[in-house]
Amino acid sequence: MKPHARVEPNAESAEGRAVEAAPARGAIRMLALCLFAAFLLLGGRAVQLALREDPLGASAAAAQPAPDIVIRADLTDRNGALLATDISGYALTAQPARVWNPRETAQRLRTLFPDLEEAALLRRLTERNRALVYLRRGLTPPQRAAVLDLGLAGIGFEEEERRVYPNGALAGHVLGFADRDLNALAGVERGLDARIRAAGETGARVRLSLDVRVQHAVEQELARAGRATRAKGGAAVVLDARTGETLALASWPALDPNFPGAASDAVRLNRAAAARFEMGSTIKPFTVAIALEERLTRPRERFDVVTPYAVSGRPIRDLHPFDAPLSLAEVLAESSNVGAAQIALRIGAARQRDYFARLGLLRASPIELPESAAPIAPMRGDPLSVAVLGYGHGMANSLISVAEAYTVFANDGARVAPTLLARDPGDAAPRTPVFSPETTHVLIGMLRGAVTHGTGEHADVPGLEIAGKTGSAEKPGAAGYDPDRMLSSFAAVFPASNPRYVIVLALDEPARTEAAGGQATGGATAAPPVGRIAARIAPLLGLRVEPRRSAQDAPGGDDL
Amino acid sequence: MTDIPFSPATFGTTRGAAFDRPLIVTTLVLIAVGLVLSLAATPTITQRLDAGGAFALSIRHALFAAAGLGVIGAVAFFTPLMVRRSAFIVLIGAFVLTLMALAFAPERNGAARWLDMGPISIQPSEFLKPALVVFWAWMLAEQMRRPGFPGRTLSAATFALAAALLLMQPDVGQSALLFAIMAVMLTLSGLSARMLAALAGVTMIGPLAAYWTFPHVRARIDAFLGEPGYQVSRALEAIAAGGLFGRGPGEGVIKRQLPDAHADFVYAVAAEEFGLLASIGLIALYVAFAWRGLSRASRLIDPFSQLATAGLTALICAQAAVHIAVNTSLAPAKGMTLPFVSYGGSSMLGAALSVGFILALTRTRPGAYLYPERAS
Repeated sequence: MKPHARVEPNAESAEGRAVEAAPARGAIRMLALCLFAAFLLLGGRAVQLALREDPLGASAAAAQPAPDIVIRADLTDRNGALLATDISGYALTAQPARVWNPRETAQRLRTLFPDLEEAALLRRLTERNRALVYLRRGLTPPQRAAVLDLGLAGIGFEEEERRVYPNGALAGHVLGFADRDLNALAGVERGLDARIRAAGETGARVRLSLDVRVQHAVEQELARAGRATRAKGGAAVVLDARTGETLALASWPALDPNFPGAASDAVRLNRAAAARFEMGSTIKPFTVAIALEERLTRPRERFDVVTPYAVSGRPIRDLHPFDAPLSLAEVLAESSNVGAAQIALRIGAARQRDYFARLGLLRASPIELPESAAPIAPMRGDPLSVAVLGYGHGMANSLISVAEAYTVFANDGARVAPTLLARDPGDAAPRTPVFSPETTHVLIGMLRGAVTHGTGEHADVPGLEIAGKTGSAEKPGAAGYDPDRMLSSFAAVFPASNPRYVIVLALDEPARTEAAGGQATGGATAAPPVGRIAARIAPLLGLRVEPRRSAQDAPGGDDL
Repeated sequence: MTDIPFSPATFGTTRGAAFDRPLIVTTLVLIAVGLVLSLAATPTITQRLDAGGAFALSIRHALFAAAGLGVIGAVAFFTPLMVRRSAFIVLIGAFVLTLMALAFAPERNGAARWLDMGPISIQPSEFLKPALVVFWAWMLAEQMRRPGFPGRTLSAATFALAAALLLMQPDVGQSALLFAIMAVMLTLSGLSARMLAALAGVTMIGPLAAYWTFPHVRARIDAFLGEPGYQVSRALEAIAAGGLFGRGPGEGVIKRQLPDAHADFVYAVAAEEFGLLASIGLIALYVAFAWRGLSRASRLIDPFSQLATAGLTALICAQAAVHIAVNTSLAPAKGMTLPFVSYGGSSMLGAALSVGFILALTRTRPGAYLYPERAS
């Protein structure tokens, strides 16, 4: 206590010193109050922050750049089955300035991602003048965890969205795909980009007209036919002609939109929309219908298809020679080019062009696909052009465009434009009148006859009353049309007594296989898969299959 | 305050159970909280084996905490004279080291503030603060006793020297903290109204001068008045994400986002991982610290002990308050550690020295305390 006594000059009583300390006591109380008030304020702030959802406030949130993530809406088929969705992934990033040992970092990252090149990694990890570099994109959460376990300094992650197509290749060409930044590149993703982004902002889904069950059946039968005939490719479209809704649209070989880069250009090509073919005889029903509509012929008129026939000095031949004149129905059923050419010349260039335009054959189909191709249709108007156009040559169309034209047979002569968006029940499809209901009715009968007694017999399915037309178009080669390379197609409308659905299927350069009777024609190669597709999808579409109605009692059959 | 000091068992003793037990308990709990948070908050980088294993920084923190406890245990038994003398020695040493840091030390995070000493590096300003407070208490008490003694002048002079050294680093925040503590102590020592007004004037001018002189101060204040900067934004998000009960131990993300989360943003780490209950608990611990220190100080008779105890208590609590205020965006960004809790040896030992001094000065001794009215 001696040192302490030196501070105290004289031995005062405790009370005496208390007087000396008294002012400080009050001041210390003030200090205590100040500190308590400060801590009370901090406590209140802590409560406020803990209970507040948005700690930065609206203004600060607005000032901070929004994370650069594009949200695309989910795509579903007409029944709600998921076709495309966004999932979260991570981009692997590095801050070069904070990486301790670039070589070691690169080597350890390569143990997880052998696909990265060490030299390239090293170069990016040593870019000292850059604050942030991207090393790899599309990491899954487990991959991110594995990188974190490496404990590498300066390595980070950025959350990013990824587009995923859970059904793989199913409907791959229709759906299209988006790049890593979710920018739409192809298909409906691109065609409906604005709508998909807008729906994404509200969390809504975009419901397509497709039916995955129908799509699956179509893809399977198309692939089967394509493989069986060793074709280069193939395409098929199924429309609900009343509403224009596209139930299925397939291109073979199929494309998995999850890995579009892995596919060749030949695979990425959408043969149902982007490819244009001279369709050949599948155009003939329109020639016949125009002539009937314009009263240029009667169903019972007979055409001379026996005498050799030439237009402007160029002979026009049939695939097989005929030994007797053919009725109008037989011209369709037996697919006579000579007959169709004669009818086309009666129609003339102006009317032909006018009707083809109304059928939508002279412009790109408005279906929501950026790939939808405009036709190659010079429409020169000279007699030879008019004559060959009568049987589907001299004009190349996309398959979806041909399917669109065929909707006239299911709508009493009116064309309905195809769509990939599901239509609400109350929302009537816009109709473009082309033919009268009477003409349409006669044509349905003839097309039904082409299946029951003509080239399309392999498409017949008991009870489904399929009406349709084959097409076996020789493809143009270096020296004129090449009989060995054909585009074989079949266009069907069914059921004939109440037409509603259109199926168009084409095979590109099918081989003459034994399974198809040594033939590569539309009737031998394209008609059978259309029949199988119809048989498979009819129950899905709620059609009553009535097997008792055999091929014999088809309307129009007596015209033969 | 009818506690230990006047129980027959302790009356008249100079050792033993004469310490303020609640203050000891509060300090120990704070150190324990710091240890737990060091497990949570030390950067992910230490998960690398070559950095010494996953708990390298936690182990270092534990060593600092042990050293701190040693300092507290030793200093708590000092007599007021020993407190004065040791503080004076520390003061001289801290001044010298601060000068050396300015002269030789490498610049870290834009400030020459650390001094590398072999395996450890020290930040002399953490020791300068408690030593200065004790020195001022001595000077001011001397002037209270002998009005002719230039205690205030000497206090102001040492503050000016310390502030000059700190501003050269530059460390504006510590200078401001020291100024606030000196102002408090001058007020406690009984200033005239005119002197108080002058002090208030300096208090107003200081921040303005700092704003115009130091670009980083201007940037931080501008950021505070406008949108919160990156670190504070992350801290706010972390605290909000913590909510009532926190994300859970180890689940926080701020420690991955901020380089010094384990030091300058440890409060946000606590709030994120353990929620509002932990953050309020931390505040409550400093409130308890302030209450114990100041209530003891208010009843001390010796002006030196009283001023020193009040000043040291204010130092610890003000530093904690600034840390929390920065973390919650109530003050401009400033790297200020949370005493006893933040990672860092200098900070830990400086705080330990402070609480050691407080325990020593508030120890129950004959004649040290004013009898409370009720007891007399």
